[in-house]
Amino acid sequence: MPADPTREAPGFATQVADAVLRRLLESPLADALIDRVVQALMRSGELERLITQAVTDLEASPAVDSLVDRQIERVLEALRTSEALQLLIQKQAGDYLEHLGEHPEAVQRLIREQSRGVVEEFFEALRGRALAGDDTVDRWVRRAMGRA
Amino acid sequence: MTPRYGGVVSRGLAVVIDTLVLTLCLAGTSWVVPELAQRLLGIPADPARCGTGTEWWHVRAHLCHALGWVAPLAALTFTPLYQVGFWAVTGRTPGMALLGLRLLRTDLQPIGFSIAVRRWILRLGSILALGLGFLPVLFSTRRQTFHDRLAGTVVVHDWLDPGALRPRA
Repeated sequence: MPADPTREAPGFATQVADAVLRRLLESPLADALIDRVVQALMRSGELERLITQAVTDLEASPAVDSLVDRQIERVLEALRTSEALQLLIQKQAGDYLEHLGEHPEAVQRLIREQSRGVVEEFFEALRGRALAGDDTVDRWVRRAMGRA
Repeated sequence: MTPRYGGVVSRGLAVVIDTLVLTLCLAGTSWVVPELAQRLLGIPADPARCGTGTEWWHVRAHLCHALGWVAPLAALTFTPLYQVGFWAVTGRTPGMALLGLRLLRTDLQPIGFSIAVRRWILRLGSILALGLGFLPVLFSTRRQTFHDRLAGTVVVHDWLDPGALRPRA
């Protein structure tokens, strides 16, 4: 049976239209046009106002509040009663404790470094104050001796 | 680099800390030695219960009487050993180390054992002269005491620029 030319014509037309559209979208002109439209929208105070208004309306909406509360409550309830989660937490906690028991050096080092840091800070402050005290005493003596 | 010399406040604080350390050591020794003597050798800590044996073989009685000398002897020996030892070996006592002070010769080189001993004796003189030997620290440009000047030493803050006052090779 010979091919029906009326059935092939729309396929070809669609292909041509697609190709033209693709070329148009890939062209620098289309890029520039899209950029300008986006910039104009960004600059527009109206757009920002509309978005702010929509968000504010959503925030103030008792229906949304209630929906979010219900969802959170549902998720929390599911988590609270989830045996799998309880098991996971217990296992993780057990693993952590076991790891710390086997390798206590890291925690000991952390505590030691923090303690050392506190002590060093204290003595650094003490040294600074002592040095300032030395200078103050010197000034008093110079003043008392009538020297500049 | 011109060092920052240790003045009255920092040196005074260092002395206070060293005095506390020494007092703790002395108190510890005065308690530990009689306690050990009592536990290990059965020597009573109370001199009144030492016994009256004066012959040489009454070792316990002699030791018991000698225990009364532990505290004064420790006080007499610990202080010079502590100060001279630390000055000569590290250039600073623990109190000075906490305050970031270091004892050096006037040419900023480490002091040796002989200077440490000389300074300690001269320092004793400053103390015996009712502390008058410490007064020059207030007027001296390098904050030197009488014993510092005679021993040729200075006390510097070496924590401000660590490494700047390290001994030259």
